[in-house]
Amino acid sequence: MTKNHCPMCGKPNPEDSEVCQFCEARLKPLVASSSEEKDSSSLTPEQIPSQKDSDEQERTLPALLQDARNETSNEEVSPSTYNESAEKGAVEDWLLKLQDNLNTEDDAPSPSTEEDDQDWLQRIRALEAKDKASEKSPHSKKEDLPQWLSEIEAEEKEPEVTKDSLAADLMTKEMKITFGENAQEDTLGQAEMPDWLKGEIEDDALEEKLPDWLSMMNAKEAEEKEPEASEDSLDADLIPKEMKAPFREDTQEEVLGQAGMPDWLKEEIKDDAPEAEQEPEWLPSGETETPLEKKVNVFSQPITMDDEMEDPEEDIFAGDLPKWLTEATSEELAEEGLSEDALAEIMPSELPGWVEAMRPVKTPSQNDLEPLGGEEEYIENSGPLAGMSNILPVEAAINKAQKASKHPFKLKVTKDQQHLIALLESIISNEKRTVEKQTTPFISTQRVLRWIVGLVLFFSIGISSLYKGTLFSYPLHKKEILSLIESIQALPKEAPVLIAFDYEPALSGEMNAITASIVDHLMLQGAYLTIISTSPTGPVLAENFLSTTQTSHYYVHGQQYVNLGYIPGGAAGLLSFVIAPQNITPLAFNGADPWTMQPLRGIESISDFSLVLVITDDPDNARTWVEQVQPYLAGTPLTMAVSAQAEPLVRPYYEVTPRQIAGLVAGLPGGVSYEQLTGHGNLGQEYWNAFNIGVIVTLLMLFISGIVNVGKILVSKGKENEKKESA
Amino acid sequence: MNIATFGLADFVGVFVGFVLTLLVFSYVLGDNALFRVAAHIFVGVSAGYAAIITIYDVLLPQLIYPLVYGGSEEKYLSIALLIPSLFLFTKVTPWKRAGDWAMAILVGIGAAAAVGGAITGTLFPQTLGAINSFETSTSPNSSNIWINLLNAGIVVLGTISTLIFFHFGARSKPGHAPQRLALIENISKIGQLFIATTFGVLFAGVYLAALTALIERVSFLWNFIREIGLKLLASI
Repeated sequence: MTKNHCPMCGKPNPEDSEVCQFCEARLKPLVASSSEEKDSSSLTPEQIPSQKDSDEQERTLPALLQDARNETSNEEVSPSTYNESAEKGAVEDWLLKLQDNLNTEDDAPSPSTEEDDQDWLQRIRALEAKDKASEKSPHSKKEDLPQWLSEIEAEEKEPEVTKDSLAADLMTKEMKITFGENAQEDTLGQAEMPDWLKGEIEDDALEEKLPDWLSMMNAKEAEEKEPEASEDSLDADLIPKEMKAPFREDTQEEVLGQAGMPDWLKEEIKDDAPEAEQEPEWLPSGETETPLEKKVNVFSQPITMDDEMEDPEEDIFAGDLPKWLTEATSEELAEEGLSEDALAEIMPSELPGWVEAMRPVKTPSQNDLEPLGGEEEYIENSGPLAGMSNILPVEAAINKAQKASKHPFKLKVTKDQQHLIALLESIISNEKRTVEKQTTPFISTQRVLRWIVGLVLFFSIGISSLYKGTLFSYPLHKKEILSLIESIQALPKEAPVLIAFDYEPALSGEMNAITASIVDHLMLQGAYLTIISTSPTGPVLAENFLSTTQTSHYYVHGQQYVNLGYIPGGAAGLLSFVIAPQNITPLAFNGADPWTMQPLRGIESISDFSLVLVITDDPDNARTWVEQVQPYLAGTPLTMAVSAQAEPLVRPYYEVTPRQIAGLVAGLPGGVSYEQLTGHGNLGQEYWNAFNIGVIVTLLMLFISGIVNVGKILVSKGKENEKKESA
Repeated sequence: MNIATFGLADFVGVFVGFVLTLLVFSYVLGDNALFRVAAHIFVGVSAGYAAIITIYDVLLPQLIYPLVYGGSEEKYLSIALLIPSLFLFTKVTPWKRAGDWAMAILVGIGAAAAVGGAITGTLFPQTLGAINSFETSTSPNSSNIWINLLNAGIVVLGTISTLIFFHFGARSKPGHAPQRLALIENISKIGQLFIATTFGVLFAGVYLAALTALIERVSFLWNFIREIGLKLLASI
């Protein structure tokens, strides 16, 4: 009882078992193998190889190749002709040797049993056997060798140049394939050579170098082939020109002889190849190109038909042998008396079971994967799990995203960090919490207190404004105000003065009160005013200022003052204005050209102004003017009139040594002091009483509220003490 | 306020100002619709006016007019300015990044001007001034040397202690919270005192400025009532 070895574990199993008893691996594939499917066509050791009809395979060729093959077959000599020729005998000889060699070869089965009956494998083996035979006894079996092989052998053995070896060397292997039997016969063998070619060759100098044995053999073959050559030459006349094209007409002409060629064709050939008739310069004199060499040159030319053939050997066996060779092989083998057993030994045996089980049974297709998600049951049909159902295919496992493995870690958090975390969580949770608006009653303590403060301030300021007398003494004269007054006093008449209105409308009341006396002083000096602003609202505030506080001077735009408008860009824009004022402000606020007006005549840079006055409520604006403008003034005094809220940050520029600003007026007290010093009362003195009343009331309210808060604290503490004592 | 010189536009302007002032003062009663209406009007008018000023005072005279009426040099310069300006408009389109380079130029130039001015206009002169404050010969009040020295000492102390207050470097010891050096901690307390004083002065200045503005508004209301309101009542 034979045992079937498991392909996986290698242990023996009964022959009839389908599953391994040890590892449960599938011993036989579920799907029939290709060898089983092709049992009708495949060969077993007991079968005799049948004749392979190459016409069946030729039908699968493309139409172009089929047409080319048909043309070639038309040119071929019929099998009956070959039976009569000596070439047939040569073919029979090497095929018989092929069989002999195969018989003597190892009986080990071929790894592939599917393609045993294919012709290309037979040809491979035949060639291998032929090579081996030629290596073993190159001379003893010379008579048995085919004609072309003998010539190759002779070429290898004898370095002397012969016409055949020269042709074989120069002719590429592809060309041999392309021209098939005709090409090989025409180039390598002289059997089919026409008489004219033989004559030319005999006249050739190369003929003298041929060995005697080869010359004799060539002569013998020429005698045998002589009738065929005549037939070929006749056939050449019958072949249409289109059929000759793939093989080059000149080649066929030389091979078949020019005798059978019409005159017009000869002339065309001569016209087409004039160079071939000319003797090259490098060629020694007296050596004319023989027809054989012409033929070789033709063969050595590249043929596009073979460009796609990458591996010549593969291409040799890729095609089928011609029909005549196939038929001759089968028939003549039978004639040679080879038994069926001998033929069967040539054929490879069946693969063992374990090899068959390991072979891929069937290419998995998309249909094999579809039952994974469907209702049909999926059965594995290959590999060690063959035959088992409900198995996930590998492809699905690969495509499935893998979940990252969990790495345990323990976060070490201190108590302080936990406290901070809890605090952060509470803050975040409070942010998300929506606090409902508490509906306080219309009359509440806080609201009543706000009314009281508002009413006190409103009435105190209003009542004090009605009084035109002096309730409070004017402020002391400060040095920075005196410096500004001295700077203005030093101005000549019609001196150009640059005034920057850089404050917001909300503080225009304070700024107007501070600046009114200063601008009034400038107008009294007869200065030409140039107004500029780095705030969009500055130009219109300046116009409002002049129209409400300086109506008595009758300054006219374009004559005594110019409003240049707004300078965009902040610090960079201000710096640009300092460097090139005419480029930054080409037009005035009213659209006119200011640089032709009287106030700006002779002004090229900011240092041409006699005084620069900055009116601002923002300490940043004041700082920008000091930083960007003051370094370029070159002796021109920079003065400022600032709001009370900007004074603490602007004063250091005046207090520093050397001073960065020449004069400073800050807040309403500074404006009032300036008015007092100049002797021209204005808005400052008008607001002075109310200002002092408002400050006093504010201080009183702060004091009272402080006392109330202290009283509340004392009362609450007294109640707590009483509670503690009672407790 | 002289009503005799008022035209119709002036009268309307003063009347609107009077009404809006009352609406703002209504905030004393609490947040209400009247105050919000006045606030919205101020915001809208300010934005619209700023836009008009930008167009008529900046774009037209500095970009459009030179491009249309200017010479060749002015046209080339206007084109060079117009290109980044157009790219700035992409900041309000889905292709925001196309205007980044123009914005980068603006920010870079502005920052360079501001930083350069701060160094050369504030930092160096103020440092030099703090040093020179101890020079009695150059002091403004050269008559009282001790007062000048005391003043200069206070300025230097206030400057150093304020800077040290913002030094937050501390050493950490195991088992203890990070703590600054004792010397730095004590000096920073002095700096904290100067900072509190400065904030107090700033708040006082803001209050005084607001008080002055209030006085101006109250004065405006009273003048309006006295000059216009009473006369209107008398005429009726």
